[in-house]
Amino acid sequence: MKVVKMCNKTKLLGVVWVVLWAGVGCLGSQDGPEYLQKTSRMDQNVLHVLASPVLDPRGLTWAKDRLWVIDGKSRLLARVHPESGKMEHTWELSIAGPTAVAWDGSFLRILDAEKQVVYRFDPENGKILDFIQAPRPDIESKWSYGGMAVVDSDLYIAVSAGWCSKIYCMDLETGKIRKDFFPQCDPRGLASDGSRLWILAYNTSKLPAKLNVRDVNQTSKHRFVQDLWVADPTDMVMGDNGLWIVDRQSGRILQLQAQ
Amino acid sequence: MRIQSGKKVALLLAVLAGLQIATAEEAIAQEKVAVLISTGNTTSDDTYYHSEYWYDLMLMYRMLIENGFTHDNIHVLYGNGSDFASTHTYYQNPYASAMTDYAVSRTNIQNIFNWLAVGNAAQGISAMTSNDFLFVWWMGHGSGGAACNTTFDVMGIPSQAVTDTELAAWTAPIAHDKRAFVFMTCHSGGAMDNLQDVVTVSMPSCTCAQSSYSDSYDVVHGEWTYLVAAALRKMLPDTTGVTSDADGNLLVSLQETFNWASSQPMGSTPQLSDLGAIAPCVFLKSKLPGDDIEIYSRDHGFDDGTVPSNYSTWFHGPDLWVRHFNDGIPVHLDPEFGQTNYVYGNVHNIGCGTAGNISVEFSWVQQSGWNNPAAWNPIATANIPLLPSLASTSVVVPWSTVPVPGTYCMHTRLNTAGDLENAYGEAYRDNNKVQINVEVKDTWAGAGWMHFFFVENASKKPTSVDLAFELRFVPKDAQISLELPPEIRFEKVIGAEISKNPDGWTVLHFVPSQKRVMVFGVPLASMEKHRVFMTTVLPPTSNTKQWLEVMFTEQVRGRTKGGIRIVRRAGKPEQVVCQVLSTKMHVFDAVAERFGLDEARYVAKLAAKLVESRECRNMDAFREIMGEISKLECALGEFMQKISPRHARRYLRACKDLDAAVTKGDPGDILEKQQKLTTITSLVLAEDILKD
Repeated sequence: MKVVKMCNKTKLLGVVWVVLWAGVGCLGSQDGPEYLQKTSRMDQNVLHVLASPVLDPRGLTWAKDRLWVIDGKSRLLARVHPESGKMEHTWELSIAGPTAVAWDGSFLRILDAEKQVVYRFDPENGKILDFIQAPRPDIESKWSYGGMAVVDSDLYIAVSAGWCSKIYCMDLETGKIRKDFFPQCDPRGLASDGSRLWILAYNTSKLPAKLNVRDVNQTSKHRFVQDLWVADPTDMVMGDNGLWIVDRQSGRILQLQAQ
Repeated sequence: MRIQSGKKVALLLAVLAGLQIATAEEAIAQEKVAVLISTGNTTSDDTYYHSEYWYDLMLMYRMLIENGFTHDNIHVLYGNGSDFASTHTYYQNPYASAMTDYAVSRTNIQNIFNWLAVGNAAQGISAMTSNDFLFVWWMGHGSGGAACNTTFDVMGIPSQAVTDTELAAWTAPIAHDKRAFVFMTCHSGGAMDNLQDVVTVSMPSCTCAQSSYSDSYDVVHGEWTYLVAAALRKMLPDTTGVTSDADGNLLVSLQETFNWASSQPMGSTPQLSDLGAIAPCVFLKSKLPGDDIEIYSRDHGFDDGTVPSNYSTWFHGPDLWVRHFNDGIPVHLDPEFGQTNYVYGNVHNIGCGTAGNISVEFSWVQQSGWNNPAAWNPIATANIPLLPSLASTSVVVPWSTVPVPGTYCMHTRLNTAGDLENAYGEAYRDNNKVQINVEVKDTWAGAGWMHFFFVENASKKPTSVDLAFELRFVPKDAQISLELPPEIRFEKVIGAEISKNPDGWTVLHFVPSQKRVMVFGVPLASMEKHRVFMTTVLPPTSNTKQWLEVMFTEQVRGRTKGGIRIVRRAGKPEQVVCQVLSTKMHVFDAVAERFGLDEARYVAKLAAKLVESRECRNMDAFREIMGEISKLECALGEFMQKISPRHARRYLRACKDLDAAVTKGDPGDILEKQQKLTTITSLVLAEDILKD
């Protein structure tokens, strides 16, 4: 898989376009051209674009200079080189419904949507160490989990549930919910740089996804920072050099400059 | 027209005593007040679960304005206190001033409800009364649990949140007749039990255990707000109509709103709380939604009881009509002079209670008295013992005192305890009154037909009136002419050729190919009025289904103030002859009786002879007797000069024309001239009667 590092964006935009066309074709995605074109043209802070190494990318996190991607269907956890996009290692998860993943500094945290728990997972040996209960919204209508992010000893979990959508902040060790707040959007991916929390909002396939950001200590205030032409974003993570976003529909992973 | 209960008895007694009263419409304020609470601040267009704070607010605001709420009575709490500048034109504030009154906060929410309870002069807010209607819409996030207790988020700040019990406590002191709550939040079904009573309707977007959702429509909207607004507006934002008015009474009740909106695809299950079963009779568009007694009859086909009804053709109320026989057919026929006609009225009760002992009074008046109830001549009064909520019924009375042929106005006046007519004579200003303009005539077809009507300024100020004639259907070769007296001046005429008749009257000959004939700039002083004559001639080749239709309206600065629909239909010649003779019989009989003229009596007798024997169907017999009748009529010319110098020349000229037609022997020509002469005689008679 070819990867183009966009150090000179203007010069390389055309190359990216060609490469990604190829990538789209390989993955058999139907949505690509319009979304990719808009992303390439509008998102001047796109640094990097990878083709997802798995077919059903759900969770995405950054650990030890590598991207980690969960495949929802095959329940694979893949370690991916962020520049080459090469899949370096995979674990077959014995988890019913892995949908999100986050790095707590020592271990991976993997959300099981079916059992509604968050496992602590050792990426060195592939073993599950323990788990905490995931938050369960008290509603009878449709809802689903979004992404996860760790800030210090807190685990943030997004729940997408219409006007009941919430971001839960939990004690990483005990699972106790410390607070929750309304994200003012349909949350999919969560990411943090330690002081700010980014939320990637799904906005239907007709409208660009919205990236909004807020201070983790003042969660009622937020601002929209960017529109992203990704049709079905599933997760997001803050890496060493920006935000990484995974789009399930196009099968792409984008690296953005965090603003 | 609703009145305060304490004054009902006195007003009813006054009416029963036959007193001319001014009802309490102006004296007792009846308000419908809305509070729109949108608990977030939109900063970005086209963003799910965010832009709806503004988009939904716009929809609800538009809906309320369209349903007769005033800007002053819509209190908006939104975001940081400023309108959002959307890039979507439809969601930009179209009004002259800001829509948002206050930033949304716990304090401001409590304040607005408190001010509506006790008033706040500094804020320009009056305390609501027990006559008023309150509408509350709440939009945003909500939380809840198994106990069905709902907490409404405000701006995402936990300390600002409002619980359902707090909302109930804050709104409880507000006086109201009825009230309605619409919620577009998660878990909002949990608020129903806190708010419910027999005068409250609540419509939350979901059960207490559900979330609520948005969807992509024209833009993103909270599903429930979008659908409720669509139901109450009877259309989507793109103006596509929706069928929320299930019973077709032109009004959308809260029950119909719920039924239609909740049947649309949604992610949640909307709820309805209506302990008093009032939702079917609460219409936001009504002057007072959910009023106990509200009866009305329609001023026009699209009249839903709103006061004032719109001005377009309000003077042809479909709920008042005349038939020549008591056949119940709901199609108006202009009254037949000299026989018993039947007057029908429809009455609707759109109130929440049963209306009892409804008085339905029918009357007629000369055209000039159209807005002066004191001048109206009673025909008869019908009584409706009971009319349940949301029911309609019809009444009929015989009318045997039809005035002589001419143009008149008829009225219905409705009165019942709890809803009395007001003092206005203009039917569009009172939904308890209906007016139709009628021509008392015999059905005429064939050759020429002349009639008269008034051009007038019924307002209190001098004004320039435009006379508009819409030629709705005019067959090729038909002729229409209008004679304007010398007193009527005008600035410009389009669509007609102008000439003068021997009396100095202006004659406008309509060009049939025109869609519209206009007489612009007729200066009229207050209450000034003049009779004008219109003559219509259907083509000689017309078959019995041929007709001609002209809509005449008086307009001031483009706004219709009154008018008449003129329809002429061709009939079989023998029928026409008999009908014209029948008219002549009645008119001259009346002339003979009033003035003691033997010639007139003999004219009536000759006409009667032919009509009663049906010999009028025999053209030879008709021609022969016309010779005698025309001589007698012309012999009355001298008398006409005495009692009506203004119309005598016209009478004598018509007589001369008739004489020539009789000599020529053409039945159609004789009919035309005979009808013209009869019309002038009717006019002389009518004007003389007015002197009494």
